[in-house]
Amino acid sequence: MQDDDFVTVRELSHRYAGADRAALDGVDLAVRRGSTFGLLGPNGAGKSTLLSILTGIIAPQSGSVSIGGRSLTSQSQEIKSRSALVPQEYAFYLRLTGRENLRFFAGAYGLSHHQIAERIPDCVDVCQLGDVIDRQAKHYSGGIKRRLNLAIGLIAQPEILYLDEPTVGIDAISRECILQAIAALKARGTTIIYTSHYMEEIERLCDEVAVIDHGRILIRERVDRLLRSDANRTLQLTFGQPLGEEGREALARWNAIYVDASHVQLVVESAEVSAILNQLSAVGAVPVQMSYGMSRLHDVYLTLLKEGA
Amino acid sequence: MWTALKATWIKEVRLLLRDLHGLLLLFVMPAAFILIMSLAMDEDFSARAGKRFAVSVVDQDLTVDSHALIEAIEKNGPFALQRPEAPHQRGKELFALTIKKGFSESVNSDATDGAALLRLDVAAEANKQTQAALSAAIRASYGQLRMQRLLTALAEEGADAPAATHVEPLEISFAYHAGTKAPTAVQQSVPAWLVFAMFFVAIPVSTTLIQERQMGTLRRLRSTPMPNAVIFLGKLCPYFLVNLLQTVLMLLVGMYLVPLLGGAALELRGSMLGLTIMAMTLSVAALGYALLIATVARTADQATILGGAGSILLAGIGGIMVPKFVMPLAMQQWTNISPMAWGLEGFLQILLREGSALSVWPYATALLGFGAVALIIATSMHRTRIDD
Repeated sequence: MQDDDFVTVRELSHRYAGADRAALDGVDLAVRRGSTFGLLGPNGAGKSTLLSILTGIIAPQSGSVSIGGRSLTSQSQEIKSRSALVPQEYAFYLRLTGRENLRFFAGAYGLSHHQIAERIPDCVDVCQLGDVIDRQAKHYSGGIKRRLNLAIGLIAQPEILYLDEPTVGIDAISRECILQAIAALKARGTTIIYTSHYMEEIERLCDEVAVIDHGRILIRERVDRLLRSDANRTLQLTFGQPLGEEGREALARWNAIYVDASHVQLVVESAEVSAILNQLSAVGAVPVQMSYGMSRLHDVYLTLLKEGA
Repeated sequence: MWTALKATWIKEVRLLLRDLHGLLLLFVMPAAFILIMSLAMDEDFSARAGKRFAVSVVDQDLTVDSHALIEAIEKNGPFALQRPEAPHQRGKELFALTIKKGFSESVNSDATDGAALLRLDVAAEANKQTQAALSAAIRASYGQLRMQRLLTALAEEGADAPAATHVEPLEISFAYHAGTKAPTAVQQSVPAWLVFAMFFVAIPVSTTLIQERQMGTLRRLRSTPMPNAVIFLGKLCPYFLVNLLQTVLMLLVGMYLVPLLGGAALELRGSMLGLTIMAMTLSVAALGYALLIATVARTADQATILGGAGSILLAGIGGIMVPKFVMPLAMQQWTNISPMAWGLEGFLQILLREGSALSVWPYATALLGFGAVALIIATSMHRTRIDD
């Protein structure tokens, strides 16, 4: 744990009544002030429970949580007034207009008329809701509903924002709008905890990432280090047709992993790459696409989960 | 806290105003029930209340005897005999009595069958019991008239006959407050269907709460600094006002709309403070019931079924649909298990028996107790539901 940690979680455990295992089992976590922190894990891993505890929705059974130097146990109201949750559901009122929803949630945070009048245009602008803000939310498309969901999370100008799969199930334009809004928040210095199953979003937005499974943190690392650590020796080859027997023999000495008949991965030093390509060329198996030194978070994530299991 | 509470009230009122079905359920349905039931039971209650049934009379005889018959019929039953202003003119009367020419002669002679000179026309929709009572009154009056004439004739002939005095054979005692007007259908219907309607807030309250739970709105609200108590108070206070508004509107329907359609007007008797206490405590009970439904039900559909069917069941048991006094004695005791019966009895204590504010305390206390227990169970269960 470091001095600039904004969120500090120590030995956090929680078990639901009647459950055969703990939803969270001794979780330790630290999130730096102003960073965007990705929380990854399969369904049922404990992400939602962790978010519910961090946002004060449920009380931790054991362990401690400190946010912005305040204890969640003793100062939860102060913490809540400085944080906001954007759930993955459309957590607002469909029979109210976008503006009425913003006003209501602003009231829930105890904002004054002056603050509300000042902030609504800002939220509307950031989430590009200007054309629809005075229409009832039931008439919104899925993408616009997601944007309103985010806008409500911004109304209190929180120091820390919890985004629970904020782009699930929407069109590319709305997704881009939301990702840009999140990037703008990040630039303002808002601390963000972000969960998503879209790895490219995590790669794009997050500084750090933690992978959680079975209620335990498998790894917590900076995204750039995580990608570099395992991937910088990976050669990925894609062939135009399934690789024949001669091609397979040519790669035999490098312990090739066949993703499928046309895709091969090899972990090799950079000096060996040209030799591999020569061997393949000699047997007439020329790849149509290749990459070296690059990996995707998706692959790292799956590897971590397999190792964790 | 005040800002959050005010924001929640505004939100709830907006949601309710945009819920057409909810508004129909809370205001139009009970008003319709009051109109229908007040008018449907008007004749039955009128008979109990001593109202005189109008009978059109066409007197072709126009003699002292025909006049005496009319007076006797009015004395012998709850009937008001009215002559039409023009021949063949009929009003809304369900009965028409024709006294044919020659009636007087038949009374004073043995030769003619006087009854044949009286004709009673009965409308198809007339109540059979009322018809039987009217027939009996006519026959009795005719018998009395003939007896009087016979005794008079005997006296004139010098016989030692008893004086033809009328002795009232039966004293009628009413169960309601002496000296006041008797209960009418509207006096029973308004409180009954008002109680029913107030419990129907269970449907909009529970369905909106379940929708908030399912959509994650409640979870989101719990992540804000808004205290749980404000979340609940914010939801319940507008519906408390809705219940009070229902009370005022239903009383107005009984006072002004029912008489416009031909029924008796509701009369506000008893203590207004008592009436207010009953409306408020009944609302607490109804809101407790509503929250209980909201926490027990997992989906809005379940809440609608539980809230609707539960209210109908409580109404059936509680003497809302069938007045308690119509039920067999054994069943009348069962009505006391329904909080709707406590509410109805409290209202009737004021509206029928002209009770004081103090006289409704057993009903008000029972309703408050029910509401408090339901609210406590609901809030504790609700917290568990969100945590799940």
